[in-house]
Amino acid sequence: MSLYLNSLLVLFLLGLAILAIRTRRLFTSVVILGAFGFVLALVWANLGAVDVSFTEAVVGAGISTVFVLAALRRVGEREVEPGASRFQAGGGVALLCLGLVLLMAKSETRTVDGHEVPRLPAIGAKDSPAARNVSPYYIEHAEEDAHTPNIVTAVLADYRGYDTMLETGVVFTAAMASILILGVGCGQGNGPPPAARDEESSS
Amino acid sequence: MTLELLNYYVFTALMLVGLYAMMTRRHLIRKVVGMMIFQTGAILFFISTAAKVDADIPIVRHAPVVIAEAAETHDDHDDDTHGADDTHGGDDGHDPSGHGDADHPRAKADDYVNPLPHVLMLTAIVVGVATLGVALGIILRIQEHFGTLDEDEILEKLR
Repeated sequence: MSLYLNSLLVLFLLGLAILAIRTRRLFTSVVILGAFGFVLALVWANLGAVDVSFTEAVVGAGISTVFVLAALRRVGEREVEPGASRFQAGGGVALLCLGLVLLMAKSETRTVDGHEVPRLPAIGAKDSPAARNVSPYYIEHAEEDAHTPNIVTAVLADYRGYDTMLETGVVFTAAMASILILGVGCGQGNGPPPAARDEESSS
Repeated sequence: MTLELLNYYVFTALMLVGLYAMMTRRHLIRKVVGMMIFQTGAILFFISTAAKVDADIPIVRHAPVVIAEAAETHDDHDDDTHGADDTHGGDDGHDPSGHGDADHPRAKADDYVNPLPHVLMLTAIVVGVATLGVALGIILRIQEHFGTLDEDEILEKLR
């Protein structure tokens, strides 16, 4: 892990995110989001999360960009004029306040009512709370318990096997929901299913 | 040193940018883009807490010498344990005893990055794509029904 490379990539990430919501054309925005996903994969790889990096590059950057582009093709690319929303000023001010509160909370140790509230641990600290309590057990015992040198795989498929199994249920539910919402297989091509057509004609 | 805390600032900013897009953009696909950026902020926080200075990726690695020794000394012994395991069938509780602790020194926790946030975030990424799929499906149906994806026009037609 290189802290300088990490800083560079993470700032680049933030720039791409702001660009993605500031550009006027929707198509440009979606393509920038794809680039955002690949920079994200680089950030994960630099932080040592190789499995997350693979998944992000394939799923986050690849498939979701394809999904959004496919949706964009069917919708037709007609972008509204930006900046006309009623919430622009109020929302911006509220979010800036929220951001300031969050920054104050995490940047330094402070005392509230006699209790010391510690700041968040530095990136890469070996004694951070996340690294101290239960995670050493998995690192030390994963190979004995699961016979897999890859600890992430061991935790995903062995210790948390039920979680992963039921996650396929989540993905299956999402796929079924998408198919039912889109009315695929009604024999109408791209048209709405019969129920929706009745609703439209009655209204 | 602020560089060590930079990821926290950036994850806050990403979440705020995402929320801002979801609140103020009128096109529904823009709102979905904001939602994806918001999710990314949360994932960035978790992965940042997992990182450790001078640590390896979470794949246990033995020194080459140790592996060679283990292969030689375990050669016939390994077959024995496997045969016994097959005949017993299913009882894998004592299998780790086949690994000698002297031959296989335990991985030190400080040498590897924390794997638990990685596992959680793998799940989060996949669920995020599932959410995206359903959201886009609903958006396509809205487009078919109302003929527009502008939030204000849709609210006008709903009235």
